[in-house]
Amino acid sequence: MNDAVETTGKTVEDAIDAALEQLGATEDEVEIQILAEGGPRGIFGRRVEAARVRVKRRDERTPEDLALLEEEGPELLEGPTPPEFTEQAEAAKEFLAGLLGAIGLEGEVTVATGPLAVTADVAGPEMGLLIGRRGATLEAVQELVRAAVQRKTATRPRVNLDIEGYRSRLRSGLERRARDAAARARRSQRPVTLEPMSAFQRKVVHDALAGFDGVATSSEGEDPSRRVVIRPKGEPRRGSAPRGGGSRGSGARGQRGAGSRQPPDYR
Amino acid sequence: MAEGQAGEEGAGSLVRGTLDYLARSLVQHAEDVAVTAVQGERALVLQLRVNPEDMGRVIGKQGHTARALRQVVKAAAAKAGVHATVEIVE
Repeated sequence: MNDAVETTGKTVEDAIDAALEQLGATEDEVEIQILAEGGPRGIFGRRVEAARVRVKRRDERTPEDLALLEEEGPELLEGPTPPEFTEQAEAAKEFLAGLLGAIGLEGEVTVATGPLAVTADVAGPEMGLLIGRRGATLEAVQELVRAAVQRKTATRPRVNLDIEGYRSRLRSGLERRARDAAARARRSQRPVTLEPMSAFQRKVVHDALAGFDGVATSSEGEDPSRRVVIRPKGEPRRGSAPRGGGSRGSGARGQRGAGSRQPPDYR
Repeated sequence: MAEGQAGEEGAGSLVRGTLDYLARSLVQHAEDVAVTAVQGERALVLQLRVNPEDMGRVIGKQGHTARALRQVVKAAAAKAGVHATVEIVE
């Protein structure tokens, strides 16, 4: 599907309508750039210049998705850092430093920019307070950083926040649990179902187990209770007749599009 | 006793200051941000007032921003050793 089109029309509105039709999108799903206003031109206004717009489908990936891409897809790293990221990084840093001061916490804020996201890190002695139970305060601070950055820069905020490496520790904890569960599935030769997870967490699990011998993973159910199931490889084939899609090897990752929404393959 | 009172007020003012700071960072009309602290029975009640135009900015989509404000103010209160709640006043 096309993600961006350039169209012309008598007026800007006409051009936008034409673009939306081509994209099959609604106005709140796109970013619109007006290339030419159109209207009369020349002394007598006899020649009418067409309005021209560029309409682009908005990127619906979350900053978490983008951070993950940044980590996993070095080929995507090619390309320049968007100019607004520098401004966003500065705004994020200023906001976070001010927040530490307001609460009365000691800490240091570092920011970095990449082609896909801005990363902000806060480090200091009392950061447990700012992380909160199960990271609830960290999520709240991230929400506020993004809102403050958006207000300050009038750009779509691409800021990811981590505090004292909490997110990266969470990720390695998740990977460890995934491997434990996979070992259990292989040992018992029975499927192991993990707890419901976000798309981001499921991807971490699929990726962690992609190279794990003897098991295959798939995601089953619908959000918000969609969960990863780890099956011993070959296990479905031992039964009478193979059913449905069967379990998937490392191909599970490729199946995460529309195809993965099939009814779960319970055995 | 008077000293303890003063200490408590000092702690409360950090929490109030945190809410004030956060709200100012989110709104278009920072000059219209006002936070009043009222000592309730069990907690310090922080009443936040903003310019009507900025109401959406402090509440956010589905109340996400307001929820985040409360969560961070709660952390600030924990640091100060007080209980605090946030009321957004229309």
